[in-house]
Amino acid sequence: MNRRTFLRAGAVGAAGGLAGCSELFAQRSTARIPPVLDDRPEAVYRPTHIEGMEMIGTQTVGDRTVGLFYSFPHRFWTVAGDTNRVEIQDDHSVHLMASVWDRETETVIPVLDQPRFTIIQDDSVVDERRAWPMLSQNMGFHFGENVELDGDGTYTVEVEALPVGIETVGAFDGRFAAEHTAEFTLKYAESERNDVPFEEFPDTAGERAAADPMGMSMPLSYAPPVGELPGSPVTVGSVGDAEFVATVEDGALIVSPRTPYNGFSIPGFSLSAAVESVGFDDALTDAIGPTLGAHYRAELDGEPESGDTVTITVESPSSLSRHEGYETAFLERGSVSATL
Amino acid sequence: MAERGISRRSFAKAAVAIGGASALVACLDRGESDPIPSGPADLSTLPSRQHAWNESLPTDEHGNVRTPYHHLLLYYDYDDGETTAGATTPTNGERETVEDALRSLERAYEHSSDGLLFTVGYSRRYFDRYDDSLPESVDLPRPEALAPFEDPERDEADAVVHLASDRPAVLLEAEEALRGNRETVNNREMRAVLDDVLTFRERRTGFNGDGLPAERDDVEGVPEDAVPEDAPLYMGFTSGFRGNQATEDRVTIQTGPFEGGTTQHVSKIRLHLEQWYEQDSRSQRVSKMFCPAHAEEDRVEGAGHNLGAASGANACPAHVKDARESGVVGHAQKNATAREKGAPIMLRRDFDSTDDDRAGLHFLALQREIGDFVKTREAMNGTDAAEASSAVGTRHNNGILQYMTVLRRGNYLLPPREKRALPRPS
Ligand code: HEM
Repeated sequence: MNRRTFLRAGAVGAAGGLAGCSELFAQRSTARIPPVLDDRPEAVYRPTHIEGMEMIGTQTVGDRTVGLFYSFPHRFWTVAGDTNRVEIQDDHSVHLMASVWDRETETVIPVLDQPRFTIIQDDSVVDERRAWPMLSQNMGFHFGENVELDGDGTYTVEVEALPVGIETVGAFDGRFAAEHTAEFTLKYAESERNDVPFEEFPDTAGERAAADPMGMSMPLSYAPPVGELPGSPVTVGSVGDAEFVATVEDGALIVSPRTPYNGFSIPGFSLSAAVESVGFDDALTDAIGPTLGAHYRAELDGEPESGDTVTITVESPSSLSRHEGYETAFLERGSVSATL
Repeated sequence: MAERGISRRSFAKAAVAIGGASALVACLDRGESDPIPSGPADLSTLPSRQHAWNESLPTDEHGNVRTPYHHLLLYYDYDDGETTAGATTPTNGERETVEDALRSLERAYEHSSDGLLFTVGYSRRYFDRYDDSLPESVDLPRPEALAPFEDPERDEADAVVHLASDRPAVLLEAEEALRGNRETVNNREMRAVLDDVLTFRERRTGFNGDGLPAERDDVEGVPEDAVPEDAPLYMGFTSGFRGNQATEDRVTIQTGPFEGGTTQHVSKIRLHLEQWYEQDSRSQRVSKMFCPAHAEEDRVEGAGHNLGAASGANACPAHVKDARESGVVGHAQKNATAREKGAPIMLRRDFDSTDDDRAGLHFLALQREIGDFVKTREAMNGTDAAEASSAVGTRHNNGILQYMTVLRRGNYLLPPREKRALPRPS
């Protein structure tokens, strides 16, 4: 029997009583969440509301730093072939978010991993989940999931930092290969959670705009501004509201898609590209570098000249899970071209 | 059990998982008192392959073989001592005891899902105590991790007995008798006790059958009321279609002293199905279990019984192409790439479990060589899909890897029936 049944069965123990309480709170806080808009653009839009977040802490494990945060349980969307709205379950207490960055450069490492969150109290596992790689307007890329807690108290939260499977370039070459576990202490009180800021946008929700990234001083998964990319970067165009910027550096084609407005990098696409003048027409691989951040790339056989055409094709939507305002974007397939 | 206020009915439901004499009583109380068919007087009529179960199992209207509803794995060691070459090896007397115990079961129960089906397998560690090594015709490595992202414990008990029946009472009674806790099985004499020769280590249990997982959703790892009533497995889909299973011939060792035997892989897998049921849509589940095309074309109804005699994985595009173009790749789709000349190389007899009060799966598969399993598991890892597509991660959108964790792995040799009692390596 799991704890949910235990609660439903109406058994009252100390733990049961507290958890029951937290359920009520969860319901109360979900009750104020505005409904998803009926008429959403097929693009990035300003969500109905933004929930702030509390930092639980940061931990450095090996060559990476893990930051852990919590907020109210969130509704979000998963993407696998189609997009599915994930409703908050009654027993969800918080949305846990982990961000992982290089300890030296503080470049966020946004990869399609599913690090496990393990929540422990008194030596027993309260909840355990593989977090989704996701994107939100105020935090950018993070690993997130709604989890259950057993009411107010102190918890240990373990977060995996998994070996990074994608190509590492530049000073990142060969890094992030080991597996680590970062351990946090979460002192949780519902009353504190309920003080997490909650901002609604009744007048502007649904507009083609985005909520601002949060002000917290922590690394976010920004793509480098166009002007800071090496070579002679060009903005190739938008597909599904993702902006694609391309450049050539040391014989490699570099493609850096980013969200409009906030400029977060967007991993999780399957992309291909063509540069006819050098006979290139192939898939791009995902990669991460200290200054390029998360991007896509391919080695070219020759150096393209200025005036050559580059075409970028989105073969499949970004498979990242999304917080509200991103769930209707980055889903389209299609091609854009520009001259280098 | 008392503090859970478990009812008599749910006690019977959990009887195989709980085990022991009181569980057996609960089963019998529950009306499981229909006579159990007994085995033949002439045991030479039984198949010489231990794994030859299909002839004795029911099939559905599509010719799919239905594995028994209830399963039990009993793990044994021959001794506690060293198992390096030169260590104590079984005597002929001990072989006789084991054989007598097994024959008693065969006489007591019909070779069917109404009676009892069983196999006995031996690990590499068991054979390592002999000076001679196993012949080349047997591929039986020690178990090891089969994916870069897993870290299973090795199961290295000397022997494992797999018992299966539609009747929980049969499994419980046979277990009690093997362990020396009762003198009769199906009203016949139990002539020897396995525990006189072998040291009992562990039991694992499970079930596979329409409705059984839905009835057993009161454990961690699966949301309540989420598993469809018509599903034989926790993940909600039927599995083991005729067209997607190796034949018993394909998994049988063809030459050498163990000709007529097979190898068995058993992994203990923990399932995490909250996300599967609460956060994935039906169409996403179909994409991840079968392939995205099955989802788009609505090919799977309910648990998928409508698919008939095959999963239709042939109709899925190449998995690497799907990884790139759909951003998700299916479990059945990936595993089908391990076939040889279009034919599956593994015979799956896996079953779900509530062991440790967690939703789990004992993945039991037979194949001619453990290498066939390793190859199939490599296909399931989908490393090629993750490399080809930046929309597919190590687990993310990569079949069903997100929803499971492999805790333990074990490899065994199932000798032919005449060599099943404490075999020598050659
Ligand atoms: C977590 C539990 C698992 C579930 C619920 C599951 C379910 C399924 C389903 C529904 C199918 C398609 C129907 C069929 O062909 O029978 C399938 C096919 C298959 N699965 Fe699994 N499976 C699981 C784990 C595994 C594991 C661990 C392996 C080992 C490598 C495996 C190997 C296969 C193979 C070989 C096929 C058939 C491929 C072919 O058509 O040739 N499965 N599975």
